[in-house]
Amino acid sequence: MFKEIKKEWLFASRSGRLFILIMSFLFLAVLTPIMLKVLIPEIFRMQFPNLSAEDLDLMINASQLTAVGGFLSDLFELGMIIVVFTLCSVMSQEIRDNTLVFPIVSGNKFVHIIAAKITFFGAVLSALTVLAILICYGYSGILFEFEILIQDVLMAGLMQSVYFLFVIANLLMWGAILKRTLPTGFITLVIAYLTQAVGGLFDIHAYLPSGLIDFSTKLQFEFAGIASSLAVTVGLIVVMLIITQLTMKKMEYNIR
Amino acid sequence: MEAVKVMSLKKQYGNQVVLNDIEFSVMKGEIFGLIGVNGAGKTTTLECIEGLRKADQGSIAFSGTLGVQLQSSSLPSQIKVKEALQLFSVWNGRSFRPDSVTVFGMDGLLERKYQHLSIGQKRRLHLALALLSDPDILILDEPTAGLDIDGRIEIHQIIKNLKKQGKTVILSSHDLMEIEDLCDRVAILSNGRLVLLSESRDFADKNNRQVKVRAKFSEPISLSETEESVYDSMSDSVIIATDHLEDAMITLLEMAKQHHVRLTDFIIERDGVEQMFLDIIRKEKSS
Repeated sequence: MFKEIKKEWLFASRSGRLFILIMSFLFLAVLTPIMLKVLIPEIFRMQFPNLSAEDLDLMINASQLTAVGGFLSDLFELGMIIVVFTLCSVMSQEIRDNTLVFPIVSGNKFVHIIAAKITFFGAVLSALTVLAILICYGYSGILFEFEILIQDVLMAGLMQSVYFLFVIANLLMWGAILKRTLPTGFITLVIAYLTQAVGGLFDIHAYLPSGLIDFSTKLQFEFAGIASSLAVTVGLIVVMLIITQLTMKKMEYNIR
Repeated sequence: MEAVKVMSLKKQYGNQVVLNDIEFSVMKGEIFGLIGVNGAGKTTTLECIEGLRKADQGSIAFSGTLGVQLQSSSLPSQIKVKEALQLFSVWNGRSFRPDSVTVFGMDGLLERKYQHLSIGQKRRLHLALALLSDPDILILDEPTAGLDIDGRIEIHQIIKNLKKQGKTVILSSHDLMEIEDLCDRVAILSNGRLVLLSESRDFADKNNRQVKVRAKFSEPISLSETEESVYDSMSDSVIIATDHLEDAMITLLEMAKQHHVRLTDFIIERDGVEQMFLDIIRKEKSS
């Protein structure tokens, strides 16, 4: 499977996908603390010139906790769009452009092709999430003060990473089924935002992948609260990967 | 010994039958040609052998490893030639040596991106990729389409060398000269059916093919037309189609004697693979 991972690395780096992901995650990581420390107070001062510095602090409630929490929210809301539309072509475009033909006729197995994609992009997104959250943690700690436990931050990053695996599994499955890039991206986004909305509306985050996002933004590690959501997410990822493999096995390649 | 055996292959999309009971064998070490007009089922047959499409019925057996060069296969546009060759070498458990692609004219293109290659260069790269695994059986789908004359000659030479190395080659092409030049045997497909399967290189053997003798006499003659002989009033000549040139000449001399004229000129025309192909397709259409 390392051979297939090498292919993913080569294709992703050459297509600029890696660059887009790295820049986006780093931008979000440093943006939130700066927003809280500099931009929002400045906007408030311009809007309410008579407000005292103490009142301003009370209104903004700027701290490391709000900075890291804000980053994690941004990662779900903005980062999700970037991730989905950067990676929505990972499967669908390969099928449409016939770039899977060579690997298939070279004897690469479907299970290896799929496993390589989720492993590679899962590893990239996990590394970027953890790196970005650590940057946000460190930078916001310097700007404000360190008040969150590093293990809670790392656990939040880890849960976000698992959620991104769920997103990638969606992109692979819908990409294989629809063979179209934009519909794949839109369906994945709808699923992500819908589960988040439904989870919040009916208070069932614990039974949905959205529970991982909900948990991570709280920045307090409690395994009991996350176990069911984690199990459901992992289960869904496995099911989606199996569907992807079955779809690819039935599929006809070399579109003319 | 059979390298590939295709048995009762059937494939249809909805009501449209794409392949109907296709059956042929390709012997080890031979170059086997698949001919047919667009939509005849050549590429679908090859794709079924390669495993890119699943047949509805029938079976395909092959002994040895496959190397494939397809018309529409592609690589990501940003990848460099060298990277593609290195990647495919790794897939095939080999290390890439730049000198190994000199024969494909790729050595000067190693740093060029796939999107900047011409059609011919892409075809040569695809062929190089197909051969990286040193396959026993090579499937080439219109390998010279879009190539200039030099490119065609180069590819033909590569294919001939592969035969010398004992490789089995299955080749589909629209270029009947190419088929005649390269192939040991051919199969002609029409509307998803196998309409001709040659058992030897007879199809390309000019001595065994029907000849047409076009003869002119000193004066026009009135001829009762038969299946073998017709009178072409445009050129004032008699045309005789025959398998035996000697018999045709005797017939012409007898005609001259019978009509009290002299045989003044004659031309012998031999059918090419192209004519054979057209005849078969015409017969197929009329039936």
